[in-house]
Amino acid sequence: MARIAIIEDDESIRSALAGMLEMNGHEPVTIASFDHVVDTTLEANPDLVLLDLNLPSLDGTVVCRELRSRSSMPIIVVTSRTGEIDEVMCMTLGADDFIAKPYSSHVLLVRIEALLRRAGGMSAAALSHKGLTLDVSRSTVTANGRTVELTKNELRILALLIRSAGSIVPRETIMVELWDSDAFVDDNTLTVNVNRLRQTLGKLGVNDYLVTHRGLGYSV
Amino acid sequence: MTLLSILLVNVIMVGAGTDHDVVVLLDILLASAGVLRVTVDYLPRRRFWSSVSEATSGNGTSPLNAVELMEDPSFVEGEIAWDSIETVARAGRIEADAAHDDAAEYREYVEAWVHEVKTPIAAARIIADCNPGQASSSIARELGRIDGYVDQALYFARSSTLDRDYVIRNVRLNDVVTDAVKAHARSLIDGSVRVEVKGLDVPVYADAKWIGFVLGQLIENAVKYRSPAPRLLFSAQVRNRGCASECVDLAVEDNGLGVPAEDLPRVFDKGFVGQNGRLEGQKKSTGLGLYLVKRLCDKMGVGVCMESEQGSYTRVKLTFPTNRTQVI
Repeated sequence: MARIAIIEDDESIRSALAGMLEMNGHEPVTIASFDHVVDTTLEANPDLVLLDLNLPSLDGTVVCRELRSRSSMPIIVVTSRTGEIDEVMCMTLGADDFIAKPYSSHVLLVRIEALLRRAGGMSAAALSHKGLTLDVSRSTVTANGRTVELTKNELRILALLIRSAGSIVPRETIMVELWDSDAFVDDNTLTVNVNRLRQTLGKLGVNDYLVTHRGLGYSV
Repeated sequence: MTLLSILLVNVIMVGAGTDHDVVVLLDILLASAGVLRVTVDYLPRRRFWSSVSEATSGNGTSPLNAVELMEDPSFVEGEIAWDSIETVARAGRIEADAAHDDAAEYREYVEAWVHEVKTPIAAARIIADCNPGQASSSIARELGRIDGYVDQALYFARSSTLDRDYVIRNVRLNDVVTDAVKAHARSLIDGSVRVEVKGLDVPVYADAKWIGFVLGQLIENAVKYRSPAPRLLFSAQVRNRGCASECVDLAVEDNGLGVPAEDLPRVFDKGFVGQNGRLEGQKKSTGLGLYLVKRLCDKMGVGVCMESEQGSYTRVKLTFPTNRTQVI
C-alpha cells in the first residue's frame, strides 16, 4: 500500500482516481487547493505524486520542478498535452514518468507500481481475494501457506481479474492489458496463458479459482 | 498629332510662298523631333508596364507585394496606376492578415478545446474501469472512438498552419510502431487482427507523436477494411544504404479488401470517400484520415504512397530520409 498524492483540478477525475486507487489498495491523498500546493503535498508525505500539468492560475511545470528540488519522491505527470515537446519538457523538469489523458486505469496502475518498486523496494499493493494473495511487485502468489512465482502474463491476468473480482472480465479487456506489456498475443495465446495460470494455481492447491464464462470472459 | 502639325505647317508655308526646299527641310526636322519625342516617351512607359505585368503575374511572389517589384514610374499615368495598385494591395494585405489571425485564433481554440475535452474523457474512462463488466467495456470502446476523433481534430488544426510545432528526433521504428499498436489495441483485438512486425530495429528521424498518429490512422483503416482472417504487417527496409539518398521504408501492409484501382490516385485527397468508404454495414468514412496522413508526412519530410490490389492487400509505405539535411 502506498500513499499517493493526486494534484488535479478537475473534480471528476480527482474523485474517480481516488476511488480507483483505493479499490486497488492504495491510499489516495487528494489536493484540491493550489495556494501552497508544494507545501501541502510535502506535508502529506506521499510515496508518489500524480501531477496534472494544467492547473488553474498555476503552472504545473513550476510545481513539478519545485517538488523535485525539495524531494526525491516519484512524480508521474498526467496531462492532456500530448506533444513531443511536452514530454521532453516534463522529463527535463524531473518527472519520472509521463502519461497522457485519457489513459487506462490498468496502465496507470502498472506505471505506479513500477515506479514504487524502483523508488526503493516499496512494496506495491498486495491484492487479496478468496484466500489468495497476490504480491504484484514480487510477482508471486500465496495461498495455503505456499508461494509460487508467476510469469509476466500470468501476473497481469490474475491482477486484472482480482481487481475486478466479482464481475466478468471480457477476453478483449484482458488482451488489451497483455498487449500493453508484451507481444501482441492473439486469442489462442490468451487461452494458453489462462490454462497455464490454472496449473500454477493448482500447485498451491487452489483449484477452480478462475471461472470461464463461455463467449464472455473470465472471473474470480 | 505630329503628322497633323506637319501638314498644317506645310499648308501655311506653301500658302505664304516659302521656298520648296525650306519646307521639306522643316518637315524633316519636325518629323525627327516627333519620332524622338515618341521614343523618349515610350521607353520608360514600356519599362514600367512590363514590370507591372511581370510583378502581377504571380510567379514567385504574391501579387499583393507587386509594388515592391515595380519600376518607379516617371510619368503621371504610371504614378496613378502605381498608387491604385498599392491601395488595392494594401487592402488585400490587411484582409489576408486578418484572415491569418482568425485562423491562428481558431487553431488555438481547437487546441485548447481538445485539451479540455480530454479531461472528461479521462474521467469517464477511469469510472468505466472502476466498474468492470460488459457495459463498461463497451463504454470504454466508445470512449476510445471519441478520443480518436478528438485527436483527428487536433492534428487537423496542427497540420493547417505554417508553424513548425513538431520535433524531429531520432526515434526507433520499433518503439513508435509498438506504441501505436498498443494505443489501438482495442480496435485490433475487436477485429481479431493478427499483428506482425519485421525488421523494425531501425532508427529514423521523425516526430514520434506525429508518426504515432499517422500509424494510428493506417491501423484503424486496416481494421475497418479487413478480410475474414485479418493480418497486419509492419516491416522496414533500408534503401541505398551508405549513399546520400539513404532512406528507410516502413511498409504497413494488410490483407484486407484493398482499394479499387480507380480510387487509388485519390485516396489522399481531402474528403475523398472511395467505394470502400461507402460499403454497406461499414462505419461511414470521413475522408479525413489519409488526407491528414499525407499532410503530416509532407510537413515532416516523410514520403508516403499507397499500393493496393482489390481483394488482396493494401500497402502504405512511409519513407524516412536518414540524412535530415535533405529535407530541412
